[in-house]
Formats: sequence, structure tokens, C-alpha cells
Amino acid sequence: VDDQVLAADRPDILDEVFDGEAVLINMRTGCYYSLDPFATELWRTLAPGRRTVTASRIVAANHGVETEEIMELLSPFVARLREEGLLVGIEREVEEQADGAEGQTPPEWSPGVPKMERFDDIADLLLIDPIHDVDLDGDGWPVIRAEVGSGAGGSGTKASE
Amino acid sequence: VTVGTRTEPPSEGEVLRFLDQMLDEFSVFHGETAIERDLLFGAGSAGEVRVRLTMTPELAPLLEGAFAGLRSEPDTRPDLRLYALSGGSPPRPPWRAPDYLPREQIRGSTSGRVRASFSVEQRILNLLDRERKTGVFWCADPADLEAWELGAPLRHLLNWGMPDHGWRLIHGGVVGGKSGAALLAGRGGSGKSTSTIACLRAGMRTVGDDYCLLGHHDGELRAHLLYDVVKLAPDSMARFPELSDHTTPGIERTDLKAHVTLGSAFPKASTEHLEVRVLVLPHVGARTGAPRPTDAAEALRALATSTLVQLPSSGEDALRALGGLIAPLPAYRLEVGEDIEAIPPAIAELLRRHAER
Repeated sequence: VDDQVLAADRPDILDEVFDGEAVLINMRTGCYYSLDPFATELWRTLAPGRRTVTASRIVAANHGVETEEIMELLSPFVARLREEGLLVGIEREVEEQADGAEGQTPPEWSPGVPKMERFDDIADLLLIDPIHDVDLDGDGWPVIRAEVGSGAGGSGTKASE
Repeated sequence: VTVGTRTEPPSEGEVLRFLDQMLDEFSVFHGETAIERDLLFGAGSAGEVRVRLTMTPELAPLLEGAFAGLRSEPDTRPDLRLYALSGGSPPRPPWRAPDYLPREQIRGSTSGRVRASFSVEQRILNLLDRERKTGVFWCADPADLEAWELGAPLRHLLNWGMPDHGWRLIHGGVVGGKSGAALLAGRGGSGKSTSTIACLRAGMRTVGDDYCLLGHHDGELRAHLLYDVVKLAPDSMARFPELSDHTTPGIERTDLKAHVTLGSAFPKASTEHLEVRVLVLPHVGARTGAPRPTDAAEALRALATSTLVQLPSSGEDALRALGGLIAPLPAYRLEVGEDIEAIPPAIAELLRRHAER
């Protein structure tokens, strides 16, 4: 069990819950995500900064089920959130009640496999260059590193596609 | 100066000193050859924002056209001062190479009081101090500016500065009339601009098809004109050949889309503001169909992602703020096909349905 404390990678990750479903945007990559209600609950519990086991305990308590049951569902979901760069390791866990994740009204949905849909249609259009290596010129202004940039790809953010 | 092993980005104070140095460097030019415009954003609303725009003579002819739809009223106390500078010998920036992040973002300046972005390819710096309400757009060479910079100039500075005055910059078109308007949202290629033009030809009004300002003002959700430009892909231009007389020449050099001047192509359609009553998500299909209700999360995804992904460093609260603005709006998906004449009646019917509050 990975007992590292994880949190939403602010400020690059923007999130908002709308009608019970979270929308996440990764501003580094341009990808965005849609979470179902259970995935949203897991995300809201993890995002302020928690160990997987702590988050599992909180969610299990909300649903009146065993912590282990939630752990089994949460672990692969956490792995996916990390792969997508949505969660990062931090040093300290948030205070348990600091964000109101506990003690909420019991959710209407039952724990199941959390679903997260990934969209990259905007990212594809944006000429995003994930490498983006720069050097500073003699006056301290950034220039694309010659051996990497070689004029290919782009770092621009087009105003509109 | 000793180069240390600093891993943190420069402090806010260091960035603010750099902003002062930028303004000092170009102070010789202020008042001598500078071109000044006092523009009124959100005119006619309680949230009017007076912006003094000071430009180098090289940049003025490139940037001014897009703001042609705004009122220009001399004012001695602007709410926001923006400087559009070019060339010269700008001071050394405070950031190290690793601080320059993908998508023009700069570490430490993506949220909060001071916002900054840098396009390495075009060599454009945007820097705004929200507290002093002063921002700088600087480019090394105006000849390097890409078409999308000219079609939506200073959008980063406006995106960072306008929320302090109750407006959000959004990527979307707005069409309608006195009884209400539809906000058309979605990624490029979804049929937004084609729908907009079809509605304008049918006599509807607009505050723009690409970017506009959105905010709660005077008891309504109001969309306000920002840029006097409609951008059309070649296949859309082929549908509306009459618009070719109203495009900005030379733009096709760097942009696949033509930039149609709204005020010239549709002089009666362009208006300062419209009340938004419904959100429409167009998507290209075989035939234009009846609008179908969709859920709020899809509406937020369509509007917020295409807006925020294109506007770096919008701040941590940006998604929440956009969600709050559109939360009360009924949302519909609208399939738009080759039968573009069917689009205006479909949108007009939605507006009739939601005309009563």
C-alpha cells in the first residue's frame, strides 16, 4: 500500500463539481476529465492532501462500509490520477476535518468502480509542446534550446481554434 | 551577480520590480510617440471598465482594429492601464530557464496578484499587477506576431484584469436580440462561427463570435462585445462568399482562418451587450436538428475547457467562476449540418422558450 500523502497538483489542476460530477482540467497538458459521482467523491476527499488509506477510511465511513472495500477501489483510481499528473506527492496530510470531507450527508450513490473520462480534443488543437526546453540568451530572455527545439513543434497557445 | 542554486521562482517583489523596470525603459517613449486610446469595456453596464491603452507606433496599427467595436472616451482616471510595447532594450527578466513552463505559463505567476506569460516562439511577454492595475504586453518584433494574436489582442492581460471588475473573458459566440441571447460554446470546428454567421444573416445581433466578456451586471447575465472579429475556416468562408470583402488582408499567412471584420460585414448586427438566457453547444452533423437538452457538467466542460486551456494562468478560481456564471442557464446540444438556414430558427425557438424568467 502506497502511504504517500497525495494532493491535487495546484495551481495546474483546476477542478469544479457541477451537478455532482467533477470536471478537472490539467492546465499543463490541456487534457480535461469528467468524473462520475463516486469518482468525484474520491477526488474531493483526496484533493486537499491525504494518504490513500486515510481517504479510504473517510469514504468508507460515509457509506458505512469497510475501509478495505474502498481501498480496493481507490488504489487503481489513485494510480490513474497520478499517471495523468492530477495528483502529486506532498509532505503533510491535511487536517481531517479541515475541508469538510467528513461528516457529510451520506451520498446517494453506492461505491463501485470509479469512472473518469479523459478528453484530449482541446490539447490536440493547441500545438502544445510538453518538452519546451528553453535557454536564456545573453540578456536573460528565454529562447528555444537549439538542439531540442530546432523549429519543430510549438509552445504557443493559439487564441482560438 | 552570483548565480545561485535557487529552485524557487522569483518573489512577487522581484517580479514587480521587473515590471517597474520595463515601464522605466519605455518611459522615454511615453508622451512622445506613444499612441494612447481610452477604451470603454462593458459600456452601458454597471461594470464599465475604463482601460487606457498606450501603444508603440509599430503596434498600434496591428492591435487597434480588433477594438474598433468599443467606445473610446477620454478619461483621466482609467481602471486599468495597459502598455503595448515592442522592440527596445528591455531589462533582464527575473526568471530562470526552468521557470518558463509549457503553454506560455511562468512558474510562480499563474495565480494571485501578479500574472505573467511568455511565448518563446513569438517572444511575447504579458505581465499584469492586479493590485496596481497595470499591465505590459511586450513583443520583440511586431513582424513576428501570429494572426491569432492580432485577432484577439491583449487577451491574456484582459483575462487577468477583467475578473476584478466582475467580467470573465470567455471563448464563445453570442447571438440573439432584445429578448435574450444564446451563448454558443465549444471547441474550434464545432460549428460555432458558422452558426453565428447564419444567425446574423437572419437578422440576429451579436457581441462577437470568438471571445466576449461575461458577467452578472444590472440583474442579468450579460455578454459584452470585446473584439470586432469573426474567424472563419476556409470551408465556412466558402459558404459565405460575400464576407470575403470584409476580411483582414494578410491574415491567412499565419492563420488558416479568415478574420472577418464584424462591424464592416454586419454593421447592424454588432451590439455592445446582450442578455444570455441559454447555452448552446453546436456540433457538426449531417443535418441541422432540434436542440436537445444536455446536462450542466457537459455545458461547463464545453465552455470552460475551450476557454481556460487557451488562456493560461487564469487563476485557481477560474473554473469555479465560470461554473457559477453558467450554472443557471439551460443548456442544449445542437447538431448543425450543411442546411445552415435551419440554424437560426432552431436558436430563435430556444430563445422564445426561455424568454420569460
